[in-house]
Amino acid sequence: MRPFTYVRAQSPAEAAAQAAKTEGAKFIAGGTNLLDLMKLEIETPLHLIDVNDLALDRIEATPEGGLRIGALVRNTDLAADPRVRKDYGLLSRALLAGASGQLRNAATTAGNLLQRTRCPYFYDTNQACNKRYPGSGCAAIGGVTRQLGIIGVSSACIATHPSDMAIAMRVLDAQVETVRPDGTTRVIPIADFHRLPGNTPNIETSLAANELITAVTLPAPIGGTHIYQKVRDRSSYAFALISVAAVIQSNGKGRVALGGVAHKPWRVEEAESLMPDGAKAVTAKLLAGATPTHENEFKITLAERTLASVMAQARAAS
Amino acid sequence: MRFDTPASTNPIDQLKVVGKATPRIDGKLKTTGLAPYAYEHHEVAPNQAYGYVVTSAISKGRIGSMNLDAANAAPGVISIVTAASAGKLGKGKYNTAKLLGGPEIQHYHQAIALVVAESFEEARAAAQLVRVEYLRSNGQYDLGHDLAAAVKPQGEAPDTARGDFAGAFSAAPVKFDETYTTPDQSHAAMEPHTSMATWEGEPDDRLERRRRRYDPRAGQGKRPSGIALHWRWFRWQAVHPL
Repeated sequence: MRPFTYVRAQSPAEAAAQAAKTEGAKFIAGGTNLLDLMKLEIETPLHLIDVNDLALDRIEATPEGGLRIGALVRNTDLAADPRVRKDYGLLSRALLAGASGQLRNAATTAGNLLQRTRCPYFYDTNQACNKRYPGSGCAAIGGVTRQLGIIGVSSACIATHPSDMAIAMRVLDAQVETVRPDGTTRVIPIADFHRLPGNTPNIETSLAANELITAVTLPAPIGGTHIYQKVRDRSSYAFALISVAAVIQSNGKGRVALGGVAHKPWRVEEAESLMPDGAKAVTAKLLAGATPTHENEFKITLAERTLASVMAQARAAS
Repeated sequence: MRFDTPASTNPIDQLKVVGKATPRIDGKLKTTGLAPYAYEHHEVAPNQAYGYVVTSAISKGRIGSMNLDAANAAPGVISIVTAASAGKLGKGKYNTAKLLGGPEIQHYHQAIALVVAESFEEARAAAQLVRVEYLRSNGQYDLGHDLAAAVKPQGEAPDTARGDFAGAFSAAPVKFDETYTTPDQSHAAMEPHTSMATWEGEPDDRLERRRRRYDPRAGQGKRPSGIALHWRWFRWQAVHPL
């Protein structure tokens, strides 16, 4: 680990402003991902700004009938919140499908959105990786790809976003609230928050430099049956090969997004109009243009079958 | 189909230990977080040093050059052991590669240097400063692709028992004929493997060594092979997972 300096910030705007004037600064909250990456020297910040004192740890009702989730709300607390369990069950289930109890106790809402890929070539500093060293190449292409992306990938990167929570947030049309170093705030729809890799896979979100997430808001509840089904090589403490997040109404219509397939939560709104036609039709539209490798082309079939299972569960529940 | 009789003489199938409720002597220590890791036996070596392994970035080829200057100059570093400085390196009975690679590299992540420092963190930080230039050559990386060239291991008879699959399958009232492949699975020890060695008196006098093993038969009373030490091994003790 490289030496770094450390401060505790007192307000969100101050944290962002301080990050802007300190070279190599990074925010730290739960640290469940960042500290691991620092030990491996994949992340080498010179200055850590601890945001844990910022009082962003509350879940509040919004005037629109939704919820505002503070950036520092721990994954465990978010999953257990009665309002989330009642009206946004998808979110609770997705959270509980990820990591371990200990990690969820420390990991925050904003940190979950910002976690880095678990692509093994990103983690192995002996390997070329355009995320770690832009322009060095991608050792994953032509390598072991069972866990990696099948759609929206590029010749520079085939990594996936590892979050379960973010897949549910995408289905629920969440919005990300931020503050910038000049003190101004903005709201970013979750659909625009994570980026596809393109030629700059090192740039993973639409956040500007030193912009700090302060909250994630959910619109008013949409009802329906909420299901998060995650398929993985090990039944616990593993990242998704495929995950399906869905809210399905009693008339068979609904919303769906996939995890484990792309650099961002994968949702195609036009595919959702086909939900009454069944999983095959939806998946064909959802994954049209996929470019899997021979090692991960099974994900297309697996996605279709997992969605079929989810739709059957929804029919049984309604 | 019922599974109510042992399928073989394998001790696991016999259900003499596995499958029976047996209080574990380590249970309370582990569930309360009091069980020490092997390297935490500080009563043996209160001022212990720590080693961090540098591994090969290529799977087959040679080390062209290794620059240890920055690592040697890093805080806390006591010594760096490489194939060039370790003396003659042999191979253990069950090893297929030398314990330290160099100049020849035999597999990916083969150990090529051990950085010894006052603390684990200093050893790890210095290990990341070791600069190595490699001369790569091509290897074989796909077991399935090379299946035809596989040979059956000779020597000790494997501990296996097989029933009559063909007979049972042909007689089965319901049949599925499908090929499944499962992903690679490796077992992983619950804590990092650790060896701890202490010198008492002159280095030639006595070396006591403790290490964590998961197979108690594998170490007791044997002098570890693979590294041709000029030390005499008077005592060495397996520390069980407690």
